[in-house]
Amino acid sequence: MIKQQLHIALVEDEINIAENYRDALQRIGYRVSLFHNRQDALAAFTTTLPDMAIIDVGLQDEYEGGFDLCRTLRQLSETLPIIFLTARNSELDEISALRLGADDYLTKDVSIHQVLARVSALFRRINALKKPQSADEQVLTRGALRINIERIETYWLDQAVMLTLTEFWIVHTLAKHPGQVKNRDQLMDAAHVVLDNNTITTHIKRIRKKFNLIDTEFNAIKTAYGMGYRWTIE
Amino acid sequence: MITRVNLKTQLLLVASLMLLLPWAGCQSVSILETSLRESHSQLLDVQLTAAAQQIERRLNQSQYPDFNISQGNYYAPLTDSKMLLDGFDGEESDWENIATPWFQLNNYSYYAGNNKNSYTSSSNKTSDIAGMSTEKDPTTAVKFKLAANDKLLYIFIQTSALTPHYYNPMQPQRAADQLNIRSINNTGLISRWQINPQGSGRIEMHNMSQAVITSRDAGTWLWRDGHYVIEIAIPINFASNAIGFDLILNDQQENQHFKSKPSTTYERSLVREKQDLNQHLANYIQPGMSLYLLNSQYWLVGQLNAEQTFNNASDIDNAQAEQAWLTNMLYNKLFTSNSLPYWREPTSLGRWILPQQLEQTTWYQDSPINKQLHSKSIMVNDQPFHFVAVQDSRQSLLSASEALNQLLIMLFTIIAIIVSALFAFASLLSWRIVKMKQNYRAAIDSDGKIMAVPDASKLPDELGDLSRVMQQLTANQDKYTAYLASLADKLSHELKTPVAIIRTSLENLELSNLDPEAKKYLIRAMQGTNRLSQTLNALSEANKLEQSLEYAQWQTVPFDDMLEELTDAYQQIYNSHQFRLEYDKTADYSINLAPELIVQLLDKIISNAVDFAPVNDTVSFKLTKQNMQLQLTIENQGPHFSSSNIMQLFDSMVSVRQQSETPHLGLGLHIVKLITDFHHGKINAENLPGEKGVIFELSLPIEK
Repeated sequence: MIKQQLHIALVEDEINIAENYRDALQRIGYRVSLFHNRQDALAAFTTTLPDMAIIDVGLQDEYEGGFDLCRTLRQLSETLPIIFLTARNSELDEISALRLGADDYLTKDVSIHQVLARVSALFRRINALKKPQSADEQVLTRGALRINIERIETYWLDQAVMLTLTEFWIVHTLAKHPGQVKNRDQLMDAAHVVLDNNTITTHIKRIRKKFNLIDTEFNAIKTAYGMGYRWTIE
Repeated sequence: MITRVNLKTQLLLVASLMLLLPWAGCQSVSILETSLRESHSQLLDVQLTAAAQQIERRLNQSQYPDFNISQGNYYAPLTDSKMLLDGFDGEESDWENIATPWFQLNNYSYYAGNNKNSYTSSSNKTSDIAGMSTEKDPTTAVKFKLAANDKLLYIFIQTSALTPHYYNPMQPQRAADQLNIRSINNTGLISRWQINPQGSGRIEMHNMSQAVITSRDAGTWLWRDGHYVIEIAIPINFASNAIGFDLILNDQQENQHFKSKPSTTYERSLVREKQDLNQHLANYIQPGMSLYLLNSQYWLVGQLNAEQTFNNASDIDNAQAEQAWLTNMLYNKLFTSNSLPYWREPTSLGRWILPQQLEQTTWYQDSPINKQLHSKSIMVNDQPFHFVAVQDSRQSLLSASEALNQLLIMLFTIIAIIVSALFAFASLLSWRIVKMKQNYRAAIDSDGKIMAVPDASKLPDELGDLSRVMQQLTANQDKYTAYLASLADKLSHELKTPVAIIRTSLENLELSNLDPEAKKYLIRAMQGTNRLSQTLNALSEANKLEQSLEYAQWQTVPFDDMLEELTDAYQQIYNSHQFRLEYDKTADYSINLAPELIVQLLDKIISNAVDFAPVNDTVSFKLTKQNMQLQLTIENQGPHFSSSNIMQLFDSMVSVRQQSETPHLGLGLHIVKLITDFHHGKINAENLPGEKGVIFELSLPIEK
């Protein structure tokens, strides 16, 4: 189905998990290389870069080996998609990962289907970026907000807002029908994730912060207490 | 309730035991004073014995020719000055400062017809002889008093009211008032004197023995205010041994004799205070001493007061004495023994008041000094005399009080230094303890959570050790608390990997073709794994919440509007239950809070309520405003909490109700507690009266 098999590097010290993910990924047509520690992975990456890297944070003895690897990879390539897949679910880890330039942060709670969806979404985004911009692209404009659904890009006041995929889908869902309250379940469905309420709250919080970096006056996402959130246009 | 006494006060109290030192000092000074007093007393006794022997010898050698050794019926004290015979006594007269008693003259009738056999006599203090007397007028009385110096014996006679009958030289036979005097001197010479007043005024006196008429200045005979007042003087040489009076008063043609004695030799022995004897006593006098020489009837035949001798000595001594007086006051406050009898003036009107005093050496208290009384008996011509010395303790006092002063000054200085040093030291210790207490109080919040481990003291003493041990304990406690807090997180983290292995394996299995039989078990395995996953998430949720509190966003929101939105939302989510909100529509419920956290808190309470409340039951919210607090109560008809652990309801991992189908780790209400604490509020749960029903009460301060 894909002309050229995409190459995914999976860096995971837990062999059973690594192989389970590899099997699942291979089943839908990706080519997967497994690495169990940072050194092996790094050695391989210096010769050939994969099309995507899925990295665990803790690698054998190195508690934050994944972060180090991510940092090195970013030096090797600006555009290489990197997903963290880890058992750690602390907010701090997630923020650190995204700050290091990771494209997504998944915990091992999520199902394999979820992982596969994220992987393909990320590839889709990369492809969209590679494609020249065309007139028929789906663009959603709401006041100062502009969303390119094909390229999965968000702009506020013509400046790019660096959202993760989950965040992108949440913003997209809210902005599609301004004024309409979206509850947590709806938001989770839109983001194709199964998260607890608190995680949605965390995501909303982080989305607001990211918009605030561009515009300190940003206040488009309103909280409807107990119900959910809505997008407003001033 | 035990009253709190802080360390400083305790140490001050203990330090006040130091005040025992001055007490001990006073005791030792007291002992010193006693021994000084005793030795002084002994010395005085020896001196007095010697003096008494000397006086005895002198008196026996009759160095004083006119010294009367007889008992003495009449007494004449010494008068320093020459007295004016002006007929006045009392204030501002010559007699004012002379301590001399009044003697009575009794009325003896010598007329025929004395058959009334009346034995009553007018009051007679000096004579025990009750003469036969007829009192015509009981109100008529005659009294006299005496004083003497080296030359003259002064006599002052006063009668009660009467009618004067003066001697008329033209009618010598006519009855008139007359005074006769008999006197005897040491050589036994008897002199008789007669005075016939011819009117109120100056009188002349006849010496009947020598037939000499003295000058008109011999005295005064006055009739004043209805009384006779007679003041006369006779040479002491004629009256050194005895004197007697016979005052004849003419009353209604009857002569009344007021006499010393009823007989014709009516003189009575006279004792007088002698100046040369007093001068002799001056040989034995010492400062602070009074000397008395008493005869057998306790008349003062000689007396000398140290003040008379030393008073004029020098002003410097007086100044020193004045200065010492102040310390003596303190001294006496401390040492005057209350067991000693009070001192009172021993003589009155020339006589010793308490003869029993003379038996022994006695101490008296006479504030501010003590007095001792010594007495020696001496025999002069077989007549007993008493030689008495009264010595105040000023001499011993001076040296003792000087020692006391120095001791007290030294002791109080030392005590002041030690007490202030102790107090400063106690303050320092107390300050260190208080500081340590404050450090730890600040370091540990109300839930016993350690905010920061305080610095330990570096001082190498027990308090320093305590501080270091406390720090160690706190650090360990902190580590342990952190360990406990992270335990759930670590546990869930460690379990997540194996769960992930299981789940990914199952998911891979799901993608491969399985026969329906195997698929059934696969689904069960998946369900179990999901549940395990949820449990693990719940376990780390509380920990995650604590992290997310740091990022909480505060804003002021109308709490009533927020609750309206929320109850609508809950009604949509939980359509099996009814939600009702009550509040005062007119009131302002604006409050500063972190809305997302409060929603999370309410989610947990509502989730709890809905889990346990019967279907279609109503969950009631009631919002009230009290002072600076908002109070929200949430009530439902679910089963009671078991009353025993209702207090632990909000602790982690405590579930006080029946396990439900969904994983229930009791973390929900713990999260409620965390959020409430974060808002400085209070959360409370209670059972409603009756069979069932519970109520949650949430109080939030309006201003954070």
